[in-house]
Amino acid sequence: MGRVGTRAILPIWLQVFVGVEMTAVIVAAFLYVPPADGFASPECARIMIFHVPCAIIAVVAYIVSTVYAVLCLTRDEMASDVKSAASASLGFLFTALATVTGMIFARVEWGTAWNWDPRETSILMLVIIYAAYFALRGAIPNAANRARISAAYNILACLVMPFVMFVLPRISPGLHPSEVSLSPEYREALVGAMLGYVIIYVWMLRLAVRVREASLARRR
Amino acid sequence: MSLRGAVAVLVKDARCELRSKQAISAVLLFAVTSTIAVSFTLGMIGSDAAVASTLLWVVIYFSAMAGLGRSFAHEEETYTAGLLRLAVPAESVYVGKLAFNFLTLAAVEVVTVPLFVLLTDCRVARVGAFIGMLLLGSAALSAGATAAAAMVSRAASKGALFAGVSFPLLAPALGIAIAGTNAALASSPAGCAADMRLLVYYCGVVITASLMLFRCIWEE
Amino acid sequence: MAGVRISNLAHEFDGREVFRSIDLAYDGSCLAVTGPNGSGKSTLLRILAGLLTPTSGEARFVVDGQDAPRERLRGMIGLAAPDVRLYAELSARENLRFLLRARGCGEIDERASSALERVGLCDRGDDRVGELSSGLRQRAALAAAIAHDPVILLLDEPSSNLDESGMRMLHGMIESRRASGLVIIATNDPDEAALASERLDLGSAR
Repeated sequence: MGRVGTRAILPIWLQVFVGVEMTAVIVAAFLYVPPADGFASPECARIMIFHVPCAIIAVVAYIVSTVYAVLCLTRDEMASDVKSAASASLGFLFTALATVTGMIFARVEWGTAWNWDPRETSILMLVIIYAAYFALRGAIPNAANRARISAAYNILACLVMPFVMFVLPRISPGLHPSEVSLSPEYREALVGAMLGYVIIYVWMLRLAVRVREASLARRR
Repeated sequence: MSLRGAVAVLVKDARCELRSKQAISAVLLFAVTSTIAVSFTLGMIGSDAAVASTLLWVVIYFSAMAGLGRSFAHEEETYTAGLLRLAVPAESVYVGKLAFNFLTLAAVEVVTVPLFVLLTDCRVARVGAFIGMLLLGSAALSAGATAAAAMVSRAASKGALFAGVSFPLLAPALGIAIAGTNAALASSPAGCAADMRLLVYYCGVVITASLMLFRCIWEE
Repeated sequence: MAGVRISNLAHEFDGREVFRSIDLAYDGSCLAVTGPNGSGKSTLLRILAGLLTPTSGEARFVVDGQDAPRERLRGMIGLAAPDVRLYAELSARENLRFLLRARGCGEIDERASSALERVGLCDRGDDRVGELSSGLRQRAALAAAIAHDPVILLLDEPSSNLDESGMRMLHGMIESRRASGLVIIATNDPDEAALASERLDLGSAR
């Protein structure tokens, strides 16, 4: 495995930028964006600005984790395993946030916090995959075995996920709208939030990888 | 991959199981008591295909969780896994274990399914499609469970972990099997054929991926 | 004839070093691997058998002057070790037949009977391994290691649990196997180590 890096996790200017940018997004979400027409609670619809990017990052983090899992098995084992596990841990965090914000919105908009809507079910499946992945990692004592087996599980679970798409529509019709027309203010806030979340994800990923690498180096 | 090796593993596992009767007796007892509990509490389901198909597959699924995890864990616990790794190619081990798990599940269903139909007065509109769904669903559950069992066998705590690790892999197959069985019980030919095709694709994807990944899971 | 080539071999378990920098080129007939408890004798044999991937370095066999490819090693190596056990629910004969069938060997019944006779298990060969004493189980394990007539025989503490006749059987087996191939014995027993023409001491490889 390579040396632990010593350069800044993220360039200082980018750290400042995302701090200012996300502050602006939060302010905009409450003060700039108007109440949304067509929702049961026009004010509560503001939560979409934070919920949608969370859900997208949750899926992106999982895909990144799976890509590193493939690299773990085909190339350098341990370095890629560190990145795969780090991305998965962040994916779990964003999935939890997406679930909670989604449940708040569902309670207000559709009357109940959980409706087995296809999107809700797919995010729940992601939570379960992450939980099983970490349970498996935690139970394998040998580091090399843990890297290979958790990578194999990650890849297998990713291959099986498309079949969930065929099962979900049968359980209940979708409540999430398939087409949404947003006001220009909502669109700007959403794009701003998406940009901020992506930078935060990359920042947290690099930090998590650095911490794990330092921990492994210290153990050696 | 050596087919001869896979057959040797299957025959060996069957012989060991017939003598010890550890897995089959536990699984059969679980399946029968679950079936009796279901029919005792719900009474006659009759022509309610949705309830019947769901309950039947829940019984089969948890029976699989009770028994299929032992296929690899037993090898590690009794120190026979080394012998298997020495004599048999990894892919042949997977195919042999997969075949054994499928036959175990099928043997349990030979007893459980008629008992379920009898005790709940479940009406089967299309027997051929019903049996086809049972076989394909069992094949799908066996495919995912075998890979999961191999992964969990390297873990320190195997029992409870197997069910948790298997669920994300098997949930889509379970959903499709329930939907297809519902169609078979309620005599909906179009729906059943589509679900059968999906299960064939699922088996193809999971078995192919497992064969490619198995060496990473099995070898140290 | 067979030989072994080990270059810069090192292994560790979760950060704990087992051994490092083992180098060896051996083309003789019998090699003894010695060292104190925990020096990695069993680990080295597992690596040579292909059961374990070393952390770094390389270990390979040379058979009739050519590198033996990993795919063919399965039929060429026999291993008897304390953590590689036979199936307790099956008889010794059934275990041998399974291993021979899995390896694609011919004349399965003849080979199994011959191996059982060689280790002195003819009359107990059809009893379940789980019902055998520890000494007879060790004989059964040795039978499983030689049944497919391997070129390379790896023995980890082979004399454990053997009585006097078992020891004579073991020494005779080693002599006959070394005549046509390579025998590597991991042992703390001076008498066993004395059978070898060369010794690899892992106590100095840490």
